[in-house]
Amino acid sequence: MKEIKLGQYIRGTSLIHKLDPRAKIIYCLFIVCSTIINSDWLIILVNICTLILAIILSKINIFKFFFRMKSLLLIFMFTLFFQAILTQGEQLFHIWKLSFTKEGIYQGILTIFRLIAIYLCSTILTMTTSPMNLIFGLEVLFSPLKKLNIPINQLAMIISIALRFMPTIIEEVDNIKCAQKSRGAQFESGNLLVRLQSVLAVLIPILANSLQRANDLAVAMESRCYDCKSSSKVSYNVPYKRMDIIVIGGVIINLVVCFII
Amino acid sequence: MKNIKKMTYCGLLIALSIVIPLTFVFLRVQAGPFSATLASHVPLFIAMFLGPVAAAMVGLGSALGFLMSAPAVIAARAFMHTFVGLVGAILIKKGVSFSKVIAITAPIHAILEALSVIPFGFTMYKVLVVVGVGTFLHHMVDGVIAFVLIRALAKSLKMDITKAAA
Repeated sequence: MKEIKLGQYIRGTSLIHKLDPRAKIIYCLFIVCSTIINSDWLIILVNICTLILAIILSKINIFKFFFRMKSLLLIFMFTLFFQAILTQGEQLFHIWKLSFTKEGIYQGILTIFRLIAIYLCSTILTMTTSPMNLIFGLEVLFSPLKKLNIPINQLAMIISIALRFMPTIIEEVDNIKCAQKSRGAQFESGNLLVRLQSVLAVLIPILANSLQRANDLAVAMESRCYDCKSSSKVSYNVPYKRMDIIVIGGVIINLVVCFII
Repeated sequence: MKNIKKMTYCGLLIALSIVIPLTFVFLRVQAGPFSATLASHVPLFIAMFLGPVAAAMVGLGSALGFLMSAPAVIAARAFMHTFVGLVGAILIKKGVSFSKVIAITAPIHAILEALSVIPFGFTMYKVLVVVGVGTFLHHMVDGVIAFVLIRALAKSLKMDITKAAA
């Protein structure tokens, strides 16, 4: 069986792990917003410094963060390249018909740092918060939207269902792929068209089984007296701890500074 | 019962939309900064038949799911599926045929995904075109796959997905 890592959560007992998921989500939203809104070097460096501090406090092996960044290298290279050749400014050097400019390279490097900041904060969030806690945090933070008739309760329940069934579906995909391979299906070989035809042999039973499972689940939930209007959590009044208040306070201060600069 | 059933359908479709890119790696197509997994839009297209709210939920749910397991730029692109699903579901509700809905939502999808990568530094014209055109083609291929799947499901399950939530 293929080893597929579901999500990125790494169990731990560090300070960052214990933070309330709401505080962590607020912090990440701040990093993303301030990085996008303000492209000043100082803001970006401060953000990256706080992210590195969070990495250290989380006690997760630092190489795990940068290993995951490997997939972004291609994006970084393309960003730097296009910024360098398409931005007007003082020319540094020529390569064939492309002229690299000083301002272009500067903008490219700046953009890469912004990408790094955004990537790191989402990685820290998902590595130190379990998916269920994350859903809880999002549900509570979005609960004011209920007044706009947006069904936050149902959305939270739906995502919980999705998270619960992802491992089941992955296992099922593997089983059906093995079964179809034993009957001669080609997944890795052949051109794209052949692979698409083979995929249908997996997608159709997967979809059929999933819909059947959805039906069964609906019956089971109803027989257990689930009501769509009820909350998926019994209690909403989980208090913020002192550390949570410190983090949120820091976020607010940084936000003010960010808008002033 | 209708509501609960629709909810469980959404949950399973969200799970599928996250699992397909993870497990069907051999369907991945890479063109520079743009990458996509064929068939990954199929759950969204099926959700369109469940209604506008359900389709928006599937789009939103897949964005949140990707946020937990993929770079933020992927989650941003997935978030745009919320609006594509919404438009598609509304059109289906009005009686527009599935193939027409796929054709109508394709440019909307391409434009939205191209726009969603701008905050991540893809401000250059060429890159936006790559993402936009790639998404358009990806959308059309998945539309064909979804069409084939829905008819196959109607046979194997004796279930018409287009009336599944009724």
